[in-house]
Amino acid sequence: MALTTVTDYLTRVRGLLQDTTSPYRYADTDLVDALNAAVTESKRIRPDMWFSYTTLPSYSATNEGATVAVDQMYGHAFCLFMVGMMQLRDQEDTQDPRAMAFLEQFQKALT
Amino acid sequence: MPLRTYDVTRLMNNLQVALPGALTGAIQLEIFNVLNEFLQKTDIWQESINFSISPSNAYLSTIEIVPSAGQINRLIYVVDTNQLQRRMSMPTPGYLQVIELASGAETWTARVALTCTDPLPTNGALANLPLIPGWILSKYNNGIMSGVLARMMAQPAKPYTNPKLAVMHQRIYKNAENEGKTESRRQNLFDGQAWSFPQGFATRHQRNRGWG
Repeated sequence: MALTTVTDYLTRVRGLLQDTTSPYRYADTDLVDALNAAVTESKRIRPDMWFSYTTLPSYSATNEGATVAVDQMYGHAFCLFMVGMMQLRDQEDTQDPRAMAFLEQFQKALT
Repeated sequence: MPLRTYDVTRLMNNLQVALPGALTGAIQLEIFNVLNEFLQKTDIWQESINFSISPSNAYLSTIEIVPSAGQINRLIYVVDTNQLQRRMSMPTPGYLQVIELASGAETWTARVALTCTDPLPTNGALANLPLIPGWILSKYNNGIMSGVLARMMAQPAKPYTNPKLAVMHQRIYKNAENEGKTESRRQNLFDGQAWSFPQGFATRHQRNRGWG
């Protein structure tokens, strides 16, 4: 499935988090926050992704049909970042290395 | 004639194959930079612009000239209606400065070298690319491609960063730039020069000199 809208990103990320059955462990608002964090982080790592924007786009859980302005080839990397952010919130110690692995994978994909 | 769609498509395809992970917008930025540098260094894009001059244009006064496309980078020469060269300078690109006064109301011609400028087209196949004559990209496509590759590969912390290849491509680009500069001066003549004495000046020929 192509990653085009916010919904596409949430669906991909929920699949990776094994959180596909309602009620969800991770709320849509948290996942969208992670997507917005990925946007700002990508601006730091790859300014060329956002040079044509004077202000970075910000997405909302109330408008999940909005198109995410990320090139298709970097969509999956953004999903990995979102998964990493969710894993960071888990309290179990064993989750931390896993979360870091996802976040590093994001950086590696962009550079 | 602007850039040709198939030349641009070929260039973009080649660049995207050689630059894994490169974004189209970032490539287009560098294409503009390379074309601008190439045009400024080579003077390969030239235009003749007519302008009116009269004795009222005093010494060191300025006359604005406007090209049909692009922006003026360098003044090559000025000729009067009799095709005789006249002295003028251009301290600010686009503004001729009168050195030699006109004897009457005349139309002189300035030969100028141009470079690309904004605004760029925002849609279509040529979106975000400068409006320059198509033959330039067609003729120097490999050199221009190497120029873009050199700039892209020299960028830090990108999937396509490669300082060694950047140096190699910069060398290829510089060769194309030198070739363009020479061909511009020779007006694309093979083994020739742009200017020669009118043959009316030739009063003696070697074959008539009776050697030996």
